[in-house]
Amino acid sequence: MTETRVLLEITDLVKHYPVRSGVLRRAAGTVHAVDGVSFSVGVGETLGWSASPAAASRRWPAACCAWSSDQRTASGSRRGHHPPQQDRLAAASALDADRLPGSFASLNPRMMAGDIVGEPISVHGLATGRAKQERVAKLFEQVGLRPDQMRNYPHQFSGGQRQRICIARALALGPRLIVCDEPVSALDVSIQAQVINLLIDLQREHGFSYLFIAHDLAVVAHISHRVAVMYLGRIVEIADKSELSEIRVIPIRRRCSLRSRSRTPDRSA
Amino acid sequence: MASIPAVPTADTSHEVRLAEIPGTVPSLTKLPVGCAFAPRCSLAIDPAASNIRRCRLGRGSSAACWRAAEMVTRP
Repeated sequence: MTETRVLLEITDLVKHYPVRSGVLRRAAGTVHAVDGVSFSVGVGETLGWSASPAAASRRWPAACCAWSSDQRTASGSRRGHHPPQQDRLAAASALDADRLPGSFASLNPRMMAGDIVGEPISVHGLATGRAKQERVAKLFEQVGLRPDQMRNYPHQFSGGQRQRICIARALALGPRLIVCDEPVSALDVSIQAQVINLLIDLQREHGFSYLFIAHDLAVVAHISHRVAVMYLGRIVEIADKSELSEIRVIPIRRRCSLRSRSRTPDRSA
Repeated sequence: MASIPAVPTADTSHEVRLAEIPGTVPSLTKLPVGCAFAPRCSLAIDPAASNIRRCRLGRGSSAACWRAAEMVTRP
């Protein structure tokens, strides 16, 4: 996919975590979660990330918006029109859609689903009262939930429905980029397909971009226009999806096993 | 059977919709009688709603499905 307009550009992103040990919690080493990573996401594009299983490397994309603002172009047209602080806020709100792997963990169990989805709208002062309720009801419909479920609590929903609540919350601010961190890995196969289809449908409708992170390369390759494969903090490969399926030589990709989940079990293998 | 086309592979494209399985996984505290997958299954037949049948398919393989034998002989 050839993209001319760039929505997000990150250059030379570095994130190291100290590893502490002993009684005094002295730094014993450093985890190079991200080590000089540069990439861009185009408008309406899905950039898939297949990270190595190191847990630390999965948390960075959402965090990067907070501390790499100078390296970020939130949107070519809007940059420069806002003072830096405001620009950061605008970008953060566009990006705050990160979803935790277990959708249950990211939903406050004491809040009703409607309030969870409506919270970003209140925080940013976009709508109040009846107008807010109507907006939330519309979001519920968009993600395939019934508006009368707005009064239910998170535990009353199934795993797939909870993921839909998270998606609705992400959509509440009309973002241009959504960071999806393992959105389907905790779901049953039958529900996973529903959520993947929903994400693709919503993108077609609204034209926003995804930064889609998952360990399952087959899922990443299915949903993405471009795919980046990360290993030990570096991008070892970034390619258009069409090229990715042709080249199967890079050892890390074999480790990520693009074909590990073939549709029919092969007994000879 | 239904879950196989629902799994994305590297060879499927985002332009092609994955085959969704309607409905949700039933709650483990409220399991239906008979085949738990029957309410979501496009191939379900009446007896599946009341009974589970284990069907032997070959050496070492079996399936808890009323129509498993038919599915195996299908191309």
